[in-house]
Amino acid sequence: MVFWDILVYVAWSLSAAMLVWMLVDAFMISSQYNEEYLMSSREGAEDDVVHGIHLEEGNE
Amino acid sequence: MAGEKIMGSSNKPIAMLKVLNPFHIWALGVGIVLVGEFMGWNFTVGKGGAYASLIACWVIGLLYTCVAMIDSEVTSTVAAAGGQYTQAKHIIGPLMAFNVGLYLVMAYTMLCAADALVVGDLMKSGAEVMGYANLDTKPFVVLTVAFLAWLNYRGVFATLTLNLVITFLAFSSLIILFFAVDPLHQGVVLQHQALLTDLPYGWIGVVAALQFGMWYYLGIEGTCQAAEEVRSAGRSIPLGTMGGMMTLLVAATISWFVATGLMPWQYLGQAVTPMYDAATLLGSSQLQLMLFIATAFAAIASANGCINDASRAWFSLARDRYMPVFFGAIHPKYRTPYRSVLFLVPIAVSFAFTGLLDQVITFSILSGLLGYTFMTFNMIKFRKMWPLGSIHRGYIHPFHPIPAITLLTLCCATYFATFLGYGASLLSIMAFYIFSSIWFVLRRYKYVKRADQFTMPWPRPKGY
Amino acid sequence: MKNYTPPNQGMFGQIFDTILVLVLVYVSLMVPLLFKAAAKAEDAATVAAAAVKASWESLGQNAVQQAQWVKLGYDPEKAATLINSRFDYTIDPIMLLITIAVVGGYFWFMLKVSDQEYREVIREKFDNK
Repeated sequence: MVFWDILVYVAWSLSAAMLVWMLVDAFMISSQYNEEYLMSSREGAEDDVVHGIHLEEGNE
Repeated sequence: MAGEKIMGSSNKPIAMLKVLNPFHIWALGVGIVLVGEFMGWNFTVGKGGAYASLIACWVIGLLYTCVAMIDSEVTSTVAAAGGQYTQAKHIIGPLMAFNVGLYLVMAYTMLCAADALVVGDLMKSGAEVMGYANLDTKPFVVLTVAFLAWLNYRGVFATLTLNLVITFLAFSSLIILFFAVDPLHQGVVLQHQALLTDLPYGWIGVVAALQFGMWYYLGIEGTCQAAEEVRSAGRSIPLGTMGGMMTLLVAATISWFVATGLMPWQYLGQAVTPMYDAATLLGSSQLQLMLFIATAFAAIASANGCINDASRAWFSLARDRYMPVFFGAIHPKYRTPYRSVLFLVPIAVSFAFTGLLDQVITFSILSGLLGYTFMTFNMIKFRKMWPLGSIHRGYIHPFHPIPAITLLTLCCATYFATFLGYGASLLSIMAFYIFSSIWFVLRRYKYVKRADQFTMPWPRPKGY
Repeated sequence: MKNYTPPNQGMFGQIFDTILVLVLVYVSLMVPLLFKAAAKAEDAATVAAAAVKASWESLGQNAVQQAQWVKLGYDPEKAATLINSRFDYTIDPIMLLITIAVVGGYFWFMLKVSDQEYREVIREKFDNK
């Protein structure tokens, strides 16, 4: 049946598309943002998150 | 270009989004595990017979109840992505933490590979029913991993909301199946009297069954990986985990009850999709279709949760420089550990394509088991180093140290069970962790900032 | 006492370390296959020999069990392969001792080294601010 053959191709191309999208996005981010900023998350930074970034997110 | 890079404002570090609620935690925990009630749990039947499977279900259920209790207490206090890894770092020490981090990454990545294989096989058998033989499963395995990675990459809220929906549907299908077999009237549909036999291997079979008994619950402890993304972690995580544990006890018992009432144990013990087979035996095409979809949903939910948890664990290892620091980045827009998510895609796919499903599953189970063994030392030291009252705990579990001792005893029994059928795998997996540990001590630990590993605002531990 | 300042790792080192861990995983997945291949061939032979001329009675299946086997699409010969393949739970005491030593030794080594490293962490964290 042709349907299943097409489905196989669709599955391959969808996976490829999503992988390429993620790779491109990851490269774009690396070129746009400073590496130190991307790495700046801290464990247990509970209070900072609640009073800083998180509130700001809520205002968006 | 380099000069114009966005720095972020200097006083605000990047962080993951706190958007999840207890239901998401439930969905993360149960979502990972529920596939185990559709397939995999029945290998316990093969190892020791139907009654051995039920005993394993409850004994291992007790093991996981201890895990959930202990984990809830520590996680409600140490709320950070990385879960048990972060706990190990604060309570036992760096080498243990490194190992726990590896357990988590390995257990979840390998489970994810197994789940993706299940989706591929389901597509194949679906195609066969509709008259197309020999469908290639590979594209569907890759698609499952790629799609779920993409979802995880784009944000945790959508990822776990999807999990909530499909996990709930899969769980409901088990309940519907339970009522469809007329549970109150023996002999009408269910044939327990005729099908249940004595223990075919005696009591040693019961012990052997413990190994795959873990399949009933493996992954529920992953809930604490979401600690940096859930609102009021101290309350939500214990709530979601305990609720999840209850759901799983119900689902596991239903699965056992329905399947053993319909199939001879020798068949059940090796069946690939036992619950789907159960629906087939009932002769209703609607039920068959429902169980087909539910099995697929359960597998997808599990793979999804696994990518979520494995990437958080890998990210946390990298953030502390235990692993290459490159993976410790957070996406500025989606606020996910995007590099870790991306990295795990080819790994999961390669595990799925090795064709060593048996090995992969054993590796996953054993990594989980090593993690539970760690929890026992962890709990005892935690109460000793910071006695009750010295720091704020979100939840305090009762009867300490009985759960820890019970857990250790059950872990030992499960090691023995693994030894019984998979002795060689057990040794080779131990060799992996031993070599990795030596490598960590000799080569990796020099990149780690010592004091930075301790991030909790706690007083100095007693005895150090 | 001064705090320890770690070196920064270059890109090459990061890639090397990542690959090293992966290689270790694949090796430990493959090794048990060497042991298993031999054992499996033996098992298959004995099971296949027993499957010849099987009937539901000789397999010890009662009426209900027979009916369910048939519904699942099995005839006695096919079912015999499943029914006769049994796990071997004989315990090799030497292997058991080795396994206990490995698992026990692993945790002992880990707790010991972790404790040393942990003391250093605590010293830096609480003593030299």
